[in-house]
Amino acid sequence: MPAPDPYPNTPSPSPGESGVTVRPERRGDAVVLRVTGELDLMSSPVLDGHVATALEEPPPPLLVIDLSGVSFLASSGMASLVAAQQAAGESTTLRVVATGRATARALEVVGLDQQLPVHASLEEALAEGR
Amino acid sequence: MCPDRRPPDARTPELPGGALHRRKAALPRQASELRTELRAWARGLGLTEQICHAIVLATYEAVANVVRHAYPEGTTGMVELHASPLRERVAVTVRDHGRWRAPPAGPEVRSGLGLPLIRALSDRAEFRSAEAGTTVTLIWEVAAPQ
Repeated sequence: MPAPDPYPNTPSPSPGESGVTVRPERRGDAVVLRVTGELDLMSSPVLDGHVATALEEPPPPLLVIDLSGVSFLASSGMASLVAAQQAAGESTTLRVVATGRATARALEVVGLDQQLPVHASLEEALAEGR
Repeated sequence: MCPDRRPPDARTPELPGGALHRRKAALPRQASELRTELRAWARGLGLTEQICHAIVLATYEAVANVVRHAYPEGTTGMVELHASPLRERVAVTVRDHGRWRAPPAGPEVRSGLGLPLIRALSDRAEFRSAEAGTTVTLIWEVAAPQ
């Protein structure tokens, strides 16, 4: 059994330091988190923090995590996506935008494309019915 | 991205053909630094983008396992990375002096994505634990470098 995560309460490093930038945007009643950079052990807590903020009351009907600008996705970043889906629960629909080897293909390797709704573009993720 | 060679970094060994050896504190920032160095090294070998990405991601996951699981909370140990371009294969070893154990594969996706990634992305992955620590050896079969 893996040891408990030793960094559960590590304060989020500032985006410049962590290697990732997350930009929240309102698109109608949806919230889009545009992620740029590399999602790894060091930077995933930055995304976790933005997801928690986005899901604060009242939660949006749709939360899109846009990984189009992500050039490296490690398992810690994938775990953040799974955690976001769990946190979204029934009140919020979570969608992920991912294309290419670093993100979409990496999610496929571990079968997460079966668990998370992965879309090829932000427009597609926003357009589909909820 | 891989074929797009970058100017050699001062810390990157002469390529192609050189091995990369690094020893760093097993911390998240150092794991990211190791990844950057390994990426530059793999690019310099002229491998396909697919293999470069597999090497960088699988190795990062092995290093991340050391960061997360090898040493008791509150202590910082070391992680060693060795990457060598052998004849028609790339071999990477990630070594620690702690006591993490490869957790058994299970249905729990939240905590167990690293090892499936390592296994899926490498041609061969071996985990050896001993009193002195754990060594992960990753092998990729590649076309012989020119």
